[in-house]
Amino acid sequence: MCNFNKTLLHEYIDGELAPLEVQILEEHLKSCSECRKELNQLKILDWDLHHQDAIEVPYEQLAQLRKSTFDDCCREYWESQETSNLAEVYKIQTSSMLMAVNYMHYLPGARLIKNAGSSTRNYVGKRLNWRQLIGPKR
Amino acid sequence: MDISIHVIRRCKQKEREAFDILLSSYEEQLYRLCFHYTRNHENSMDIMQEVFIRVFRAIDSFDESRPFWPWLKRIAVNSCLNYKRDEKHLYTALEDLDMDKPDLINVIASHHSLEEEIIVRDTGRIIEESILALPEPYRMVITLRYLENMSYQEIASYLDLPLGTVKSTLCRARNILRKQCQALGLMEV
Ligand SMILES: [Zn+2]
Repeated sequence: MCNFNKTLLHEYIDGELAPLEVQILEEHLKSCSECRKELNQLKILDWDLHHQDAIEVPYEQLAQLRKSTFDDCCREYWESQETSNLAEVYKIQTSSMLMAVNYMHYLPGARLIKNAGSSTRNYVGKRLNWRQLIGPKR
Repeated sequence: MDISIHVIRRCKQKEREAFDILLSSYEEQLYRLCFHYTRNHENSMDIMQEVFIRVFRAIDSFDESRPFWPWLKRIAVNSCLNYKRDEKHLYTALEDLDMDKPDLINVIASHHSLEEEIIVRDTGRIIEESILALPEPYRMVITLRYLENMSYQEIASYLDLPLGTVKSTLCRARNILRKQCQALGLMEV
């Protein structure tokens, strides 16, 4: 049983060995029938894996699939864009209404009305002393 | 054969025709990748649709200073890996098995009735079925190595795996296939 690192055989057929490693491996192969056998098996398998049945490409079907998929994607995308445009319009309208409401506070007379309101409240709200009602004491 | 930046920019604007220009020259290669991996037409078409949708969503994040094909191929590889195979599929149960367990080879081998094999003796088909029986990431490593002729380093970067893992994965996958072929008497040198 050879305890040579068998991973090197795989790297060898994949062309991933450094030149020095190739030399070491080839030297070992000269004297080891076990590794030679395994390498030959790997080479057969490697050839089979490289030469699997040709893949038939369904060009027409692929083109159809592409067209319908991107039709859907684009439609969905542009529809969602429209919705978000509507949302944008709604946002602008809301903010202009809010600005209009704020403007109300700066209307001329607004302060007057406000002050008048508070002075009325002050007057009515103030509890009158009975002495004030009957006049000063003489 | 890399696509013009102009077309990609049009795709970023979600211009419908630009996607036809962008994908039509790549879909053949994409399909080959999907089919090599799944060995099934229906599944490959499912994955292709997923690839198209992902491209549509991800194109915004595509870095125009980089080549397009590797980016696209990565999307295809991920779509393949995420694709849930049909539950009824003969080999689904195998995914739960740990590859280090020695009985796996026997399980895979038992999928082929010896009688049938003696009649057919179709090495290509046996290998094809054996690959399908391999769990991840063995199958994708085989696809990238043999369909795309990628180096260990490239496979590692595509699958986000350490180089050593790619090396040992490919090594183990081939050993499983080799031992199976050997068991069926297809390895007489
Ligand atoms: Zn040896």
